[in-house]
Amino acid sequence: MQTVTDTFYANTISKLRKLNWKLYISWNKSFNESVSFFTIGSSTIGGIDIIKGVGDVVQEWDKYAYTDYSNRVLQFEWTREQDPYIGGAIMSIADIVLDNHDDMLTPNQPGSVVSANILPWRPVRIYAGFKDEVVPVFVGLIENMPDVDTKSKTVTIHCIDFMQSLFNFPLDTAVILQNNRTDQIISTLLQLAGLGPTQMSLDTGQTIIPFFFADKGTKLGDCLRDVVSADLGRLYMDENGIIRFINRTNWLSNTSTSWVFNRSNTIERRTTTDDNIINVVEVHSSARQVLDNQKYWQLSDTVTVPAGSSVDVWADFSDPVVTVDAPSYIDSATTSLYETSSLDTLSVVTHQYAISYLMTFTNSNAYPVDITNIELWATPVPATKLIYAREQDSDSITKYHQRPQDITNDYIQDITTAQSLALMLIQDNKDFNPVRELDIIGVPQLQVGDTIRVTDEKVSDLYSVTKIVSKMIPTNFIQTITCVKKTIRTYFRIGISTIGSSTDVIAP
Amino acid sequence: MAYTGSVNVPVYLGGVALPLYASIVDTTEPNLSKNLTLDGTLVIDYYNNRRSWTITWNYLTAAQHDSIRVLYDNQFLSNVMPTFWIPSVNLAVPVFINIVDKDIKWNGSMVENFTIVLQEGYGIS
Repeated sequence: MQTVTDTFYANTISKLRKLNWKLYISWNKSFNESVSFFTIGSSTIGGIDIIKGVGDVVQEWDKYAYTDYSNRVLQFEWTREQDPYIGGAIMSIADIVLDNHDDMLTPNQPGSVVSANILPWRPVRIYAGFKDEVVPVFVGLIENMPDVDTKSKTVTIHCIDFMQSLFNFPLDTAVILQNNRTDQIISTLLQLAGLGPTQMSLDTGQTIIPFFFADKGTKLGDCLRDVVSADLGRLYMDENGIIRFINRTNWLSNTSTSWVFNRSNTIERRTTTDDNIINVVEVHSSARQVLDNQKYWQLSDTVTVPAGSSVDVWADFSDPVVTVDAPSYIDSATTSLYETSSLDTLSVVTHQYAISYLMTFTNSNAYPVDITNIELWATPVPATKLIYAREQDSDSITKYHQRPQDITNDYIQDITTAQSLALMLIQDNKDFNPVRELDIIGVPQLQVGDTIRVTDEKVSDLYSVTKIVSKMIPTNFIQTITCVKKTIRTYFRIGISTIGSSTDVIAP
Repeated sequence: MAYTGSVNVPVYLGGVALPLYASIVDTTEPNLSKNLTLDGTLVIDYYNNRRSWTITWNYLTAAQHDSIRVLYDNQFLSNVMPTFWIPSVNLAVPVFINIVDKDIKWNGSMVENFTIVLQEGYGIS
């Protein structure tokens, strides 16, 4: 639940509500020049520059110069939804219908001051509220060209949040991290995508991943999903544009009831056919493990180094390596070496990459020298550690039959972690947890992940919000929320819980 | 419905003084939606209010009618809403002119029971 003022809360629960909203678009993507920032690497995310924030700049999206288009809004619809992937992300989209009576928002329309910049990937911010107060509900980018309806004189724009654009970011370098917590890995990856440390708020991860490897070109989202899944946490961009990682403990132990939905603020309610039962979990992983130092690569053809010059020799590995011994002239059979036909020695400068190794040989002689052999000794990290864990709950299977869930995640790298994750998933989902949909009087500050109480004629239970579809026209604001019945389990947290406490239990 | 104006109050539309009218009715309507919850609670979301003025003439000459008709046509030609001005109540707002055609009755060179509705271009809080 976003924090709001008492006045905002009072307006939210009022029976006569004066709606307010704000729509800001930066068509020309201009920035506040007083803010210093720079572009990382290729500086593109899906073809669009993403600028890294520094210093006291909290969010990059704040730096765009926005124009207020609130008075053109005919309809907003924004949706925030939890990724169905276990432990996945929360994504949001928005669709906005704008008045275009004067064709100002028609691309390439003569006379329009902005038409030349009516393009995809323009930053958008949406706020909603009452009277003079609004709260942020969406920050993102226009995904496609606007849909222009010449008959009704409207344009419709579809937006995705910045998180989705970040997820499409391809790593421009391979990444190896050893013995890092999940939050440390997430932080490293997001910083590679151009985000500053102040642009994210990450819980301390509860899982240490012995060896994290992501090859160059891997989509950031693919890595992040698996890392977050290994922790059973949640990763999302909040309504203010801050990326948050919530570990499983904090996600599940959120006992604060954000809102009570009863017959006086609910327009319609339905029970879905989803039951969310999981009573059998199989975890598969092809984990990487660091092997002993060993002979790992050998030169296939002779390389000639001309007199007085240098030659680069690249060794490309099939798997990442932790260490590579620099080659020296026929020294030892248990370390890297090189041999030359003329028995001459060469100077060699090396540089190690994740899955390759560069050797620059320099020949200071007045004649060419042939390198006839190079052998590299290294500590490779192949994905040879196959992990399989299967856990089940017999009582639940008796009641509901088998409800399996497969998890394939190479960042689950030991059997204990795999078993623990499987047991936690079963513990949380072995019983029937009803999923309900409620059409409600709109609450702008409500967030996915909030714990709500749903009260009807006979029962009053806690639910966790997993999806919110918000619809606002200038004269109406309603939402459809999807929520799943929540059983609060407070797991023991070092530094927070008390030994001997009856409330916090040790996680499986 | 707020008030029925005096027939003696001069009013102007698009800078043109309108002929003396039989009645002028000021109406204020909120832009709102009503939501009924499960227990029957009425929750109203609104944004603003919108006013309109209904002006009726018992009789107009053909020339007077034509002058109003010109104002009606001009709003479409110029894409600009004319200003409705009642100096006595310090009111000057852009309006859309709608002619209630069914009330037009020709009687030789006169028009009988002629009504226009002026809808305010912008909402008010």
